Amino acid sequence: MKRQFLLILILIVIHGAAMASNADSALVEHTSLARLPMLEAMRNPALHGMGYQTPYSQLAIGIDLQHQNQAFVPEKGSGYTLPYLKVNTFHPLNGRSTVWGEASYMTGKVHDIRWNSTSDYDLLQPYILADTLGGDTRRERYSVSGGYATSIKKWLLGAEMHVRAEQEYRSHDPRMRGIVTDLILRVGGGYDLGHYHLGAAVEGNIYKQTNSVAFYREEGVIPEYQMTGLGTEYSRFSGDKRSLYYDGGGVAVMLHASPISKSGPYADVTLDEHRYHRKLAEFNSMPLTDHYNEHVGATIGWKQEKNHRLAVFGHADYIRRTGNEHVGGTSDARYFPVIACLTMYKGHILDTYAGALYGRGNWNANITAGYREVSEEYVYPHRQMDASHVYGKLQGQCFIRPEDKWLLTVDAHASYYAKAGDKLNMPLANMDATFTRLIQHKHKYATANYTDFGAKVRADYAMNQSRYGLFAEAGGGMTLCSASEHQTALHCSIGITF
Amino acid sequence: MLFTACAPVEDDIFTTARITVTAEGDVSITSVQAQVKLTNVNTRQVTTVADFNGTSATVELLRGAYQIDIEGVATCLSPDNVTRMRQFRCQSDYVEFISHDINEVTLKTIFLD
Amino acid sequence: MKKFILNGIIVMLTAAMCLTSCSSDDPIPVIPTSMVTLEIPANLENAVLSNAVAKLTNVQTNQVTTVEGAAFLKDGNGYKIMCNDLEAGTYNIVVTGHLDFTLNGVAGQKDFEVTSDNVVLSETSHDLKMVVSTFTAQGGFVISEIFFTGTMSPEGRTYSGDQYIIITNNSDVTLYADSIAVLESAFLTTTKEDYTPDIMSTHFSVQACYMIPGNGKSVPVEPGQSLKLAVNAINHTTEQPNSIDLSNADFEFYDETSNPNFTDPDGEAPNLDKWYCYTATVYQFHSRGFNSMAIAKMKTGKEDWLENYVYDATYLFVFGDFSREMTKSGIYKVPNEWILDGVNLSVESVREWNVLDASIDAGWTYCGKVDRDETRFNKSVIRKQDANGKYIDTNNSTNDFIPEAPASLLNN
Repeated sequence: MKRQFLLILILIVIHGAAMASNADSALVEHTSLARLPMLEAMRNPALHGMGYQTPYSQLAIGIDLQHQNQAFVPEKGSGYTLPYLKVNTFHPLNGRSTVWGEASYMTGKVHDIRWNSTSDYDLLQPYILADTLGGDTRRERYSVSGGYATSIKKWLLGAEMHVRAEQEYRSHDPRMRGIVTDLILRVGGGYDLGHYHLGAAVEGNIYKQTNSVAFYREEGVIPEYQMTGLGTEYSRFSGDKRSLYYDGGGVAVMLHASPISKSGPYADVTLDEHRYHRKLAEFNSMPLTDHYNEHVGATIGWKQEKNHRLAVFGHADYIRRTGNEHVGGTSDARYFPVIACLTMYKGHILDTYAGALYGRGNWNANITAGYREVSEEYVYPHRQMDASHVYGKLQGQCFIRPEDKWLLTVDAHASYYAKAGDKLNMPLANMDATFTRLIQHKHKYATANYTDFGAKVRADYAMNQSRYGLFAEAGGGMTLCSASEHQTALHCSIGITF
Repeated sequence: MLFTACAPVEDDIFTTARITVTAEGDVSITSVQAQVKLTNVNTRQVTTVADFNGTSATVELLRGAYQIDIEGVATCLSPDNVTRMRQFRCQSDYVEFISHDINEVTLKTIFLD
Repeated sequence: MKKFILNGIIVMLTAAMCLTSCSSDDPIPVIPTSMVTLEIPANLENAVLSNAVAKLTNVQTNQVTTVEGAAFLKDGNGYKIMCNDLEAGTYNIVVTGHLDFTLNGVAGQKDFEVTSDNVVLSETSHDLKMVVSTFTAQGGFVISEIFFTGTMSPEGRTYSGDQYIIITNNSDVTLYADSIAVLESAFLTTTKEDYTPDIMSTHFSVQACYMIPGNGKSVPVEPGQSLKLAVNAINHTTEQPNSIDLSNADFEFYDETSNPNFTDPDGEAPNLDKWYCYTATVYQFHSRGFNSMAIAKMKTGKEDWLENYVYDATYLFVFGDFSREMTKSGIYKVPNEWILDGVNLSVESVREWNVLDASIDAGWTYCGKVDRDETRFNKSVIRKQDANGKYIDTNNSTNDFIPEAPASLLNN
């Protein structure tokens, strides 16, 4: 199946290459797969400003749909319907300065969330509020970002800010509500060494979420659990403590070295630490848990951009996750002093891959193969859940110009994740049946094999005598899971470019 | 390892508790045969120990706050040197075992006869 | 080119698979045969164990190993429980059995159950000792059921007028219920304060006291028979079809109120003699079970009790840097020696303490796992009975009561 798919892709590419002229439009520069090796460096705002030669702006209205016939991760739901409106721009001002920005609005529905009454699950898990009932939620997100970069002699300077405000809620019992504000500030610098750009950036993040669950039914409530990892919950404050807030944030340091000529070795290193504190809204803001994510990522590669575009690279990400529980003391006077803090949750994620990128003319292909390992442990009573996968990914992209005013962009991808190892150790005899089912479900999907494939086509039309253009894009994909379930995803958008 | 100093980690999560049973007044207890049930106030996990050395039992458990229930038989010596076995109970709704060293607690008996 | 890419994939995947760690299949060691010992209380004489069963549940695998009969080997004052081929691991252990014994020259017997959870059994761990408790409270009147949650109407509306409490003569002789008072705790089991003076070891602090009236022989209760005391002794099904007909209750909690908006229906059942209640309107049990309940034989008159058994409890209210001494008034105290039986009630998610001394009730029971639990309705706490129909009473309602049991008078 893989060989056939590869053959088809290559045939499309050859055909397209025969029809396409050298498409060096702004769209190509901003969306080409060939920019993959520089994406990490472009997180540094000083280098981001140098990242593209051409200005590009786009206003898009679109919709993302996803459906899983059984939720792979119950806490994230079985799919979503998320329409959005987004405008983004990248604008070199003169030879030295650049501004860029983006604003977007998204509103929609997430389907069938279970065991999670908190927003931003990926960020805050396992320390979330959860119940056994769940349901659909409505989501609304406002996001604004902007940046500026300039060069002064050999120095590059840049700054960038991202603000996200989001709310998620449910209008029937259990009525969860999560209101998120997330601010990221990034400041970066770079130095032109002649052959190389060296870059360094720091990032600061401030995060807040207020989270609550209400019940309006006269019959009463169901328990809301303060989850503490791998099916455990903070019993004393579970049940009817349904109002929380999270605060936290983090810092990151990014270092980059990339060749100015766009040919030569390159390297990126990122170090960051984020921490999130969960606190009860009552009892004098009693802290419950602290969650720390420490991440180190490194990429080393070599690239060449002449007649052929070629890059080979290796990348590794390691995230160490630590969770501390605050031990509440006596409840006299209705506030609970913290008498101890114990590290009860430990985990790590390791993702390493090697890859190669090749492109010529109007097409590019990227292949990677890697190993990913996720490990979680609850210290006492001991619980452990590990899963590791080896994977291979293939991406292809082709720009086709059937006529002068038209540009077609075709993207396709396929990947396969094969389970390499797993471990599950749970105190089944002491677990409530509902929690046991949750863990077994999560383990089933964490250790399954996944086959994923998809494609996207975008058509751009340049309007006469104008810098404006219209575009339409549609794409879809499918993920097949060896646990006999599957996921389908659809995306479409229309808009204007200018 | 680069972030070892950043995230505070408290791996010393266990401690030792020594629970001693004593009687009020001029009755002294010489030995105890009982089951001690310690319920962690925060996690609700129950630890039991019945190994008494004289009037004390020692147990290793998670640092935290506990409710203690003891029920059993105590050998009591009255001021006039009469030895008697009596059924007893001890209870405390809240005791802290958070020290990294041995945590000592003494509970007074409630005789059931 | 294609061959290069395909070969590249194969090489990289093979390399990655070599990194895969294999799970260990090392055999799990077996623990020594006699690691668990069951101790019989040393104050018992001629103790004979029968029908002994030990269930050891491996916490990780949920596999249960059952040991019984001949596997219990007498060893001094106890029994070694012989477990053959038991794998090392963490276990929950439950031992049940029957003891016949002599205590202080009197023959006795007891069905027992003793548990130990999360016990590590391994080649290097210490032997586990488990001690049987044979304490049984003296026979007499016991609280056999408390129904406080109320019922739910067909429209899904809550109804709490149908609460009741049942007291039973658990002895072998006819007893008289005159002067038995139903008491409600002044303190909530969900709000803990350091009250001074702390009188719990000697007295029960109450905010409601309703007594069965009589001249001492007015209310005979045969062995095993019960008295139903209803908050409102009326047929509630006329108003709420899913409720209970309590018009045949033996006694009723009746309040005369001065507020015409809150009147108490006076059913046909005789009224309890109201000694004191905190509310000026109509009394009801706490519908979520936050107050403990007890029955006591009042050994003084009403006027004397109201005058001499007042209890002013003070506590320190602290909020951050602010603190102030507060006084909780309107509380009376009942000596623990008067108390025949008591039950601590609470809800796990909000429970903080017991408000009855451990000599009266060392445990607690409940209807509902969380405050305002939607599943609590139509449920009672009901005292367990042994094989002979006698109510079990070890002064520990955690062991003695069935929580969240269907109310016995529903559908009767």
